[in-house]
Amino acid sequence: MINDLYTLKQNLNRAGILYCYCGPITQELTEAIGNILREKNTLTDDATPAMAMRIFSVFVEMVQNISLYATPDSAAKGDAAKSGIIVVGKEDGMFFVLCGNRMRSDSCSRIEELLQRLQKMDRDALKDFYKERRRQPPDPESKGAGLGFIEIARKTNGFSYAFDKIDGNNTFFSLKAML
Amino acid sequence: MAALIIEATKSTPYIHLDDDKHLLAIRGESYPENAAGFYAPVFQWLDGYLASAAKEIKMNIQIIYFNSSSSKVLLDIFDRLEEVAGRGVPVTINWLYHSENDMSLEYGEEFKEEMRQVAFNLIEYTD
Repeated sequence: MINDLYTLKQNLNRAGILYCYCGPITQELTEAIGNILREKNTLTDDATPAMAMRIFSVFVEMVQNISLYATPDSAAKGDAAKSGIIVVGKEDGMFFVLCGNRMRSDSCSRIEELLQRLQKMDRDALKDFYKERRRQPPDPESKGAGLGFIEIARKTNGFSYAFDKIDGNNTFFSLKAML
Repeated sequence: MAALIIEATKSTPYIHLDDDKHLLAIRGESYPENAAGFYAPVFQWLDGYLASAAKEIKMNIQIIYFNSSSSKVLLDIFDRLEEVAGRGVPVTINWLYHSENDMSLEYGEEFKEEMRQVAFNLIEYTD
């Protein structure tokens, strides 16, 4: 690992990664990273305060999705069950936030349907959809307010996603949002 | 009934609901992992208070950042106040936003669009 770590760091630099975290998501972690992201000089030093706030809000929605929906692998216990990867970086002059977590395969089609729907919406349509969804009781499958992906779509300039099958019941979901 | 006071944390707001002064205040950050759980005592208090509230009610909201599940909670709180306003009780909600916090202003405007009876004011403040 020690020999590979330098290579890993070089790869991270090449990909424009400013911050990455891989592990269990806790509220303390969210607060701590939040502080780092919002003090713009610490991480994204050329971000305006408004941009730092947007990056932070997308980050919060993504990590809270991980903590609500990530499925544990067989070895994980307790907090480790809510694990994922979160990355903040800059590519071609644009900031991005990227997240990934293991999830139940049987939830994939519902998520994909929603994301495809969101990708087709413009700013006004997203606002209307957000307001409409906020008034409704959450989806039975939803553990929060069911607004996280809509928020991410509203705050960013496009996003892409992928579903990578892990095994029969589990899929690795990744989402990359550009700001 | 007793006032409800909840101290702020890094990710949850200061809350002070006072039925003596008819003043409701929420100030700070709101991004708890479980917003419904965090705000449950607020709803419980409000249900008791609003059932018999007849005087003027004023709510001051000064939230710097709130997550999407808090957004739903805020709408639910505002809806309850709308209902009371519909019964003829004068209700004012002051949405305070920092002059550099565009996000908060935008959200405030969106909430304002949903209000009919409540007087919803967007109030800018600086440091």
